[in-house]
Amino acid sequence: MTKFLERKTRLRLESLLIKLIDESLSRSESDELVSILSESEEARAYYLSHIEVHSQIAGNWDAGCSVSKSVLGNERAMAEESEKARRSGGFRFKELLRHVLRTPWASAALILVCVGLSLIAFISVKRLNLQGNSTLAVAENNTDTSETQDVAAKSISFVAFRSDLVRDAAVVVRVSGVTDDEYIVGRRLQPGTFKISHGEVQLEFMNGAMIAVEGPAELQIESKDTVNVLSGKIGAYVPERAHGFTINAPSAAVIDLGTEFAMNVDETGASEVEVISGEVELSLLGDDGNTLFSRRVRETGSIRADRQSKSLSETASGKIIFPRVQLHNDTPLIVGEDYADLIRQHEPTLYWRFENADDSIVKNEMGELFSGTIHRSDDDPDSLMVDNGHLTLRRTNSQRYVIMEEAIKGLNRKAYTIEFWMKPDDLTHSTCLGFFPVFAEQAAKKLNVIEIATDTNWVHSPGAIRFLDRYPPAQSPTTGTNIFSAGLCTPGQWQHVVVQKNDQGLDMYFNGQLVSHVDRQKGFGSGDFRMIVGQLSLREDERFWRQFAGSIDELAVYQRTLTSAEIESHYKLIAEQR
Amino acid sequence: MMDNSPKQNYVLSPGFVVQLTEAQPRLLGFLLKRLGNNEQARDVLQEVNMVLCGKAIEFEAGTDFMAWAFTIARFQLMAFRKKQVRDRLVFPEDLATKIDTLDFAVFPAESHDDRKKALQECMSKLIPEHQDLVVRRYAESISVKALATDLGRTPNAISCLVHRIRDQLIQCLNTKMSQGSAS
Repeated sequence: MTKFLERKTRLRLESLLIKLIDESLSRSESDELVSILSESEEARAYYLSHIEVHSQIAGNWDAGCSVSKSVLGNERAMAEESEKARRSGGFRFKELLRHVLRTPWASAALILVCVGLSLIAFISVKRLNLQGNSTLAVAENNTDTSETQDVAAKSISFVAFRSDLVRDAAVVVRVSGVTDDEYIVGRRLQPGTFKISHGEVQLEFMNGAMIAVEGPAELQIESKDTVNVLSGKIGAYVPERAHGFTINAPSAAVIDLGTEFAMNVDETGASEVEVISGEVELSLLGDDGNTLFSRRVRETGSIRADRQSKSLSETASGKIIFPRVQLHNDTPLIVGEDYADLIRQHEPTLYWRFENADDSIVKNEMGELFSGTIHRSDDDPDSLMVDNGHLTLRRTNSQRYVIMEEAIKGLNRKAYTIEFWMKPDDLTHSTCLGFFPVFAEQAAKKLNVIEIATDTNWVHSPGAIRFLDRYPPAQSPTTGTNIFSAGLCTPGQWQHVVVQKNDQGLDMYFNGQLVSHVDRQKGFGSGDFRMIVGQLSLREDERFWRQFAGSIDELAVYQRTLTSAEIESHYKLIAEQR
Repeated sequence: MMDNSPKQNYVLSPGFVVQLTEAQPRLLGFLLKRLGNNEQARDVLQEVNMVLCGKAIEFEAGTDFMAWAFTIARFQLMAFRKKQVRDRLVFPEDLATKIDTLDFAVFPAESHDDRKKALQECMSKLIPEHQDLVVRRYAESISVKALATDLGRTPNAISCLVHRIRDQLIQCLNTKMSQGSAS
């Protein structure tokens, strides 16, 4: 040993190690850590022991995320991959999928996908027009991985900075007046350059910020938290959870302070910022990219930042017509009677169509039992509406949900399936629905949960769908298995979700296609379970609500496995009515 | 840094996928030890994963995957250190070298399986409350802040408690490993 540690140094080292492992070590604390470690081998041994055991514990668990079929490519891609693989002596893609899904290591293997090692480049989501104005996102795979195509003839181009391992930063949620079908609703965008020559596109960033871009415009998406507007007009809406979202322009930076605002960057690089609601901090940047001076711009204010003249000057607001972010899409799901008949024919235990006019009860189409009771927020009753043939939920500061009064006895004794359509308003981590045991106070313990997952502590793509199976039900579980889809959810689009548990394991279908599977033969047992829709639990602490925002329709629970063909037929009956 | 190179399509065998998946925590630990910075360790891990996938076809099934992965991690680490402006690196070269040498001496790769078994035994000896905390912190990745709120304690208290548990596990592991029995 070079030098034994004094008690004071040892305590300080412990404190720094805790911060390092908890990822809260500041730069000066890092320097302090270096100083202690440089001085003493005992300190280095202590440091190594802790990092070693930390990574060993982390490696002790199977994170239980899942391989997504959608990332493995479509039939043609699979065939091409098979041929390539055959030539190179590798596995065929379908074989890979089959092997990975059947192996007991499946869930471990799935982490790989979730950490970003996608086997085929990217997923696109094709927009299908349904009856009327309704739209629906359909998962499809695009094997054209080159993003350096000729962009001259395209109205939008997107060049990624890096490849598969970079997290998605944004998703296209609305497109109008754009002729290309390559950049369509549901398309995920990684950090990179986004150009639009004409038309209008709305992007939702993975932190919840939304930007409407009108062509011609060029943006550099740096991350889910930062975008650079090189030229053109944008409108931005930044909800509370994306607070601090930064938009940079050649001469200015706008740090959002909870607001809706618009920006125009002209050909000289000067920026004009108009605040529609809330306020922003606008900085004029110097040549070194740092703030020369800044000004807070409040509602209806408009400021021009010009680096050449080094000035921030007030301008008349309303002079420029900016694109506006569209926050909600009220389009209903168009459901024909043939769909409802088919569902009834497949004999679910529960089938909520949200068609009934009765204000407080959601009728079960399959019988007297298992209807739902609507609980509205006293302060904000409009945050839960059964209207236009579906359930619509908004996030609010009090509880609102639909709950099943009677329990389904023995739901988890054998196979079951949960099917529904949803149209999320955003990709915030939120609970669509879940079953809880009747004995669980405040629905705190769960048998299962279906959620939209973004920015959680688990490993998955942003905007993934999560299906948690947890038996015995628990609040602080030592059991439970997650499966995640790839990042497939698209705000403002109706999408079909089916999850099921059977003696083969857990399955997840998205828009009629199997997208995730994990082997799990255990986890069946007795119990009576009720369902809650719209939030995670009834606990007082709102951190445990995870309120879903958006619409839900055609919710069915079956006490059996649906076949792939049945699931596909359900999906197609609605999708093909376009 | 901009990289507009076309994306690669990887053809990975199931065995390779499983090995690479299992390797993630060990590789991250390897890099964190030598960089002293989580963000940088994750950045390098991404590069390592890309290289491993790109070279998957060169990997000979049945040979030591981890030895191969660590070799690539070592090269990527060197490349990363060269690329970085010196003041962005947390650990200076001499400290990183000392840590590297000590790590190989104290935690040789061949003892990993024994340590893994021993850790499972040691964890089973923790009191139920501590087991529960470890599960929530590591298996469920619940943040310290959320655990603190849930348990009615401060985040600092939870961090310290988890640290104490790691300490306990280290002591238990050392005892087991010195007894030469991890069964």
